[in-house]
Amino acid sequence: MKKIYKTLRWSILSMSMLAVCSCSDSLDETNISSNTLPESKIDVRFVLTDVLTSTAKNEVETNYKAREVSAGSQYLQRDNVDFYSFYFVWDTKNFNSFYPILTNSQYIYDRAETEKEGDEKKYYQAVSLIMKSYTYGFLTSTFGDIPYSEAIKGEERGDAFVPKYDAQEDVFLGILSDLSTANDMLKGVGTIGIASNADVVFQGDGQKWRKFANSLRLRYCMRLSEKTLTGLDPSAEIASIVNNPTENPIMTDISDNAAVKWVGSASDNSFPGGPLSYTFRSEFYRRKPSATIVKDLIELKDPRLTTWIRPVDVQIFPGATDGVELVDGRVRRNTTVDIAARNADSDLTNDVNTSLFVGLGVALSAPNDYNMGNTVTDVRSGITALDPDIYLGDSSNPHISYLTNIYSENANELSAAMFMSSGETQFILAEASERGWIGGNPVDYYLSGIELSFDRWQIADGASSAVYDEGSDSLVAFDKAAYMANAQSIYTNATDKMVPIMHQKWIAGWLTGEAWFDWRRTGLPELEKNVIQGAKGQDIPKRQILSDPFNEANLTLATGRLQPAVNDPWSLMWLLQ
Amino acid sequence: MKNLINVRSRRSCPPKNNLKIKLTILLFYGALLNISAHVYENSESILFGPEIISSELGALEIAAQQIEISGTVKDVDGEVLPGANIVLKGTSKGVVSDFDGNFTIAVPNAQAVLVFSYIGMETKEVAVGNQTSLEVLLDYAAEKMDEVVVTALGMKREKKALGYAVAVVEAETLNQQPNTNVLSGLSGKMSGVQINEMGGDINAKMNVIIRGQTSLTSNNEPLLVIDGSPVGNTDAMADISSLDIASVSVLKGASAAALYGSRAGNGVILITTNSGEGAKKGIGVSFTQSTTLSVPYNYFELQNTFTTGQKGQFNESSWQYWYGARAGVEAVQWNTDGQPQPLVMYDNSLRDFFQTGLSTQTDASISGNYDRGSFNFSINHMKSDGITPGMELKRLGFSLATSYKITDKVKFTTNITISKPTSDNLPLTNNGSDDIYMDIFANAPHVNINDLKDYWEVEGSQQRRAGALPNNPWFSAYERDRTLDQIRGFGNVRLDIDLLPGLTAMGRVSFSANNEKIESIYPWSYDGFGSSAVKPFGAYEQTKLDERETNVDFLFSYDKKVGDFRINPSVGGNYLNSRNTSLYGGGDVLTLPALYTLSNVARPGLGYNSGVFEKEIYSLYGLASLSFKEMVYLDLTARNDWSSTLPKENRSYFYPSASLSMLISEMTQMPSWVSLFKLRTGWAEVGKDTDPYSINPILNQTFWGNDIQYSVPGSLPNTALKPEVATSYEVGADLGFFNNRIVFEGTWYKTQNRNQIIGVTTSPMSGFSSATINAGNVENTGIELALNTVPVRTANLEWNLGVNFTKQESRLVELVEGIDRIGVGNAGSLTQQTFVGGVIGDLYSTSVLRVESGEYEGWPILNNNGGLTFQKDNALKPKVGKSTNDFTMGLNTSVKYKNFTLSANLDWRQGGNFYSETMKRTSRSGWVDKWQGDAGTFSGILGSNSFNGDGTALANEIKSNPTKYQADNVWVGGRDAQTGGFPYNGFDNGSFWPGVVDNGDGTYAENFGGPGTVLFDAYKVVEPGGGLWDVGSSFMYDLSFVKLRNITLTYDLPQKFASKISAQRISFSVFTKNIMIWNAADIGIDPELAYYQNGGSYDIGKEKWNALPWVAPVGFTINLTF
Repeated sequence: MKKIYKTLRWSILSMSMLAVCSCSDSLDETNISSNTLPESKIDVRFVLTDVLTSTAKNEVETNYKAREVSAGSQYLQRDNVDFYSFYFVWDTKNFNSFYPILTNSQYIYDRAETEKEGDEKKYYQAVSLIMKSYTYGFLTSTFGDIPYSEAIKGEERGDAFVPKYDAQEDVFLGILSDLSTANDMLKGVGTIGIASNADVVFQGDGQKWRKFANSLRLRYCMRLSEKTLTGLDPSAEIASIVNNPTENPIMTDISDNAAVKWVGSASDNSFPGGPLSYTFRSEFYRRKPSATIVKDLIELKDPRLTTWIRPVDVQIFPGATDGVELVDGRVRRNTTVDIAARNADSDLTNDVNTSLFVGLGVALSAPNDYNMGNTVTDVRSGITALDPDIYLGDSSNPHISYLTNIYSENANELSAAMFMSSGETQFILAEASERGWIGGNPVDYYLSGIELSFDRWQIADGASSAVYDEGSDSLVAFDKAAYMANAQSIYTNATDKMVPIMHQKWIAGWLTGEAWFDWRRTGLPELEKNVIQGAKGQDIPKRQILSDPFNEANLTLATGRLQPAVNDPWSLMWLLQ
Repeated sequence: MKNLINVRSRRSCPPKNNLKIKLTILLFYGALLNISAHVYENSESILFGPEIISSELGALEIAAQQIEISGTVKDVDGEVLPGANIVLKGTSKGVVSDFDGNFTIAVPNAQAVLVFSYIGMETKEVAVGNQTSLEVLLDYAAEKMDEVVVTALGMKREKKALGYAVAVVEAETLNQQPNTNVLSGLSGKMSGVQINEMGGDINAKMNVIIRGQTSLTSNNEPLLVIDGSPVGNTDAMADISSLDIASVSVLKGASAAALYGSRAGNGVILITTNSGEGAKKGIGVSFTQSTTLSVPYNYFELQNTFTTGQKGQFNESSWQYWYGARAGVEAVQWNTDGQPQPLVMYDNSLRDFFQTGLSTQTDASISGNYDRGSFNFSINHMKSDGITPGMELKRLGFSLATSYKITDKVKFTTNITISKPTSDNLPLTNNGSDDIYMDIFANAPHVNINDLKDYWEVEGSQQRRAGALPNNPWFSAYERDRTLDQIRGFGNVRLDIDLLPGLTAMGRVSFSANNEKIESIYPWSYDGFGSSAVKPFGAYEQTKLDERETNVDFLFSYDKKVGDFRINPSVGGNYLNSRNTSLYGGGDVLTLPALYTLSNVARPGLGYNSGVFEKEIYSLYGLASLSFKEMVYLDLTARNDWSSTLPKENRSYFYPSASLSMLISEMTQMPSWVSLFKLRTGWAEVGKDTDPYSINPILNQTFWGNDIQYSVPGSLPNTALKPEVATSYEVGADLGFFNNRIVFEGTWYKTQNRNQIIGVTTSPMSGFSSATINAGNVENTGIELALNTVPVRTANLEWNLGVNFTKQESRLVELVEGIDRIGVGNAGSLTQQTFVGGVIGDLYSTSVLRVESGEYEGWPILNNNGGLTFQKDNALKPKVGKSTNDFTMGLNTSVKYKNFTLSANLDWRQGGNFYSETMKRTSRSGWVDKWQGDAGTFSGILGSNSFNGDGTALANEIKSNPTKYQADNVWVGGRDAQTGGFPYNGFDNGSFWPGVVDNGDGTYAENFGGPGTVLFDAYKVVEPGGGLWDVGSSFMYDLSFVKLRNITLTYDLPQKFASKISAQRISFSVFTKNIMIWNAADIGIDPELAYYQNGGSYDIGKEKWNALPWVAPVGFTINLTF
């Protein structure tokens, strides 16, 4: 027993000393995470993929999912519930989904600076500048003044947590300068093979990036074209880009389009309208095409109508009795209401539209009631009995069109997130040419823009049942020559040539944000006339309102520069002042 | 604080050492049997009577017996004391007085001294001399003067020597009723300790906050230490049996907890489990069974006048009932085979769905105590069925405590506890996501919930539903499962060695492990609420967690008395290693229905990840206790930690503490009615580290299809973190009067938490949405008062009354440059944030824009469509409340009259606010009638029927009474003509906000009900965008309540009956607990549940779907003691 006791006495003493002495160095290793590699061991090309796919997600968030921009440009309207209902009660937005793109772009740039060399370095740095500029371009266009010169420096802490808001003019100058730098960097850079998988936009093709950079320069110069800037003449800049295609190549073909296609294997790589993302299927049905674009496409006999928009599930017909019936395999609703009288009165919500394609009226305070939506219950069971496949769940209105399968699938080639298209470039050239800044014939650019749009939507001449003929209430084949001739004649007959250019640019810009920005600048197309019951009458908001709760003092300084100086959707930013 | 009930009442709780056999029969509705039995060697054992072991050990002594002494033990009032211990001094030999206080003991000679002891009485030594018959009178012990409490590192200290506040709850108080979670037995019993339950059914997560919130962004959980082994957070308290616990000590302040270092920043809960040590010699057996029925008694009030649809039309695919059809309307319904039938409304959905919960607990233990060692082995089993059908939890546990003296100077001790909770379906603890409760509340009034019981339309793949949304509640209850398979174990091995006279050494290795597997099962056709919760092809997820912690520690202690001084220095060290691993796999879309395996999850949606988190801390510490004449006690401690989680240069941190206790009543001559006058004060600094891997920048990995992508995390790490430092001061006094029949304890404290390691939200354009900062100061002050009295004590009547009071506040004093606030949470329209200078718990809300001046001052500004407009500028959002109480009070009392004992415990929490997401959502959907005061969903404050439909009169009334109609929640109109709706778009559901429409040119158009008033569909009253959805203050309620934590009535059968079956005691008890006595909000939602689990932290002051029925647990107990 004594022996045990002695042994224990010494072993405890010595063990405790040992424990204390051996600690410090092993602690460093303990705190190295085995769950991840050190950042230096991860190639920046993986970060590039994140930048591109995050930008794609933002793109559909803004132009499809959310309520604002696509309502402002009157591509989509939304019903179901709530007060917003696309009638221009806009809630605040923040930078949360945008800053990671900026941070990661800067990260790529900085790592490429030390780790890469030659063309590879130029490629990463140029692409990083382009994507950063693309996001800054959207942010400043939609909000006005934003943090720029002091932004993305959080690592410095202190004041870097509250970056000042730069004047919008300076932000645009910075963006254009970065894009110009990217253009110069990419000169002579071919395809970077190692980045071909990671670059989900251009597969590492440096020259395509270069065209994108220059096309963006055109986009932003055109946006600035009504303003006078210190050190930059936007129209002259456009001319200098267009006039020197060797040094400033731009997008000319649909293969130049900057877009990210959806994978469609999981919710975070799918188009949001698809079942993986909107498992709550009514979300898909809530977003309905607006009456403005549906009416317009019908009038133009435009084949893009049937590409984007479905016929109504149950068409309305005037009849001697009320009820539903099956005619030629389609359910139709007969109604005894006095359609002519309803459509003549001042209440636009109660209008009845008997077309095969019906859009949702713009900015209605009771959109659920539109086109007899308030009486669907009367025929609900009848419809189901005749065609059980017709969707009558939440957010349904069988008398209003929904979007086509392009937008209800997880991944459709055509639902790719479009950063910029060659079509847009042509319309910019049409405008520049029309305003006399560059040479060429504006009508050629205009027609070329339309054709590139048909190509982008894969609409071929002669496509059957592609065009809705309102007169015969039937679908007919697409006669491209006739369409182009009509487009040309509209152009020729227009007193203000800007009207047809901006009109076709608006259609070609379907579900992108450009049309709203163009409308703010030019007032074209005349979207206001379609507003029914907006929160501020027929005024369409001109900016998204910003919330930056952790940088309030600077935000307040910036909103003080708006006209009027209120953080409000109708206040004018410098660009529009 | 030791509860007076058990100290003073001599018969309500029989002294533990005296228990021979205790049979507890708990009968409820005549159906349940519980037995508890204790057998001790020294009794004249009737049922078990094992004297075998002790006979062997005591053989030599028995042979030497010569003189037989007999006598009686009484108290100073002459009442006999049954069960008093009589021990022959210097030996382990002893007897216990019988029920009449009589005893007989053999002593070797006339020089023998007998030691008489009895719980709550002064111990008395009597020299035998020539007497053979003794009458011994024991005096009442000065209350708690010599109370021994367990303090840091498991050291047992006399309470009077402590310079800081320690709260103690003994087993008897803890186990007045059975508790499935130990924490529920502690609620309201200690000052400064707030325990909140976060769900209404079994497995409710309990949140403990000691002395208020000190950390801003973590959950403020105290450290749990069981038998000296740190076990992590208080989650483990749900996994151990309450009956295994001997006592719970709560170290509230930093002075008390300083020796536990980093992890004790939020206080420490020390649990001492039962061991054989200290028990009488021999074998003891105990067996206890208890049964509790949980009877739902108060249901959230859902309206059943209108059912699904809008504009008076029936539409089962809508979840809106604002203006759905009324009863009697003919409609094709889910169960009418396409034929229209009149709608019938039911009022039974909650009553018929919820059931009476049943919980049974069985504990058995065997203990032994010998010269060389002791042991206690216990086994426990718990089974609980929730009030929600299909919800259940089982737990099986073992616990073994042994000690053995290897030599006279070396003692070996070990404690091992293993607990295995399992469940086939466990309720989610965070209500509000895709849990079952939404399904239950959404059951439409025209659907008889009982008709849905046959919930499969196609077995295994398609549920039967009534309408489009949401799930069939029975399907949800029985098929959408969350299983738990957990095993938690902890234990330690300890050696105590007497090295030299006065010098002892202790070495200990402790280990705690928790391994849990949770499966989430969603069958095909599952239809949760919200976009990501719809799973037409079901889902399956499996999460495995493996948490392990090892602590190795040692302590050398020296004890020396020099004259009137006594010095007791100790030095020790600790090594901590914690290693947690996690494994997750799962995803939506099951290839085959009803097969819940990972391989059945369709490939594209299958997600998986794993992680390991490891941390080490080395610590050295020392302490010294100095005392003078048992009058002045000074404790000094110092500790240094080296943590792996901090950068090398800041890794080592030192922190000291000092505390002083002065017994004024010992120093000076006090009036005789003053029994104790003690002043105490403490000062301490405690350092704190952070989580593993927080300092190194990393990249986040995600996927794009099959391609890996990486991104910079949105949270900026801090590579130069310093340890947090909490400095605290406390001053207190303990006073006792009239032989301690009145005892008062009071403590004031202040804690400054500096260098907090906080994840703060930053402006995203800084490049990061949050950043770890290492600064700031949260100042926490409070007072804790406790008063314990024995107002009445006569032979037949004794009344004990104790009150405790807590008031505390945490104020954010400073942060870093660039950051002016801490955002704690966000409930949509309600923001939980604290600005520098503000109080932790401040609540801010979006407000309605109102005209600032002129004719229309104060009226809401409406947009062209008659919708409310809101303050979008975050800086101008008003503060609308705070989520912390003004004060809390606990009241403990027991009255004993002859054979009856009534004990009760009340918990009063006053002041503060909470936000009810449930109310907002049910109001939005029109599922409730009233949501606050007069504000309801059926009718506005006025309507189309007011003033006989005279719109001008209506407008005049509104315009001329701005105070009344400018108030929050005011709207005008109704769901239909009957309830006051105006004609609108062909229906009678038009409503409006009283206010003015902004003309855009500085003028306003009146919107008071006169011509030109802009109407909207009534359902929009609570919609977002222009309705009250955006106004957080519309759904704020008062947090105050009084709860009866428990009430127990015990009746002791007269002794003549008991003795007929040789029992010492037979008693009957009935009890109930957690009954709401009063709540200020009065909306059928328990304010205590206004805690919302949000990731790893808790949004305090917010409630979401915590509207389960209130439950009255009732039980009936019979105790038999032999």
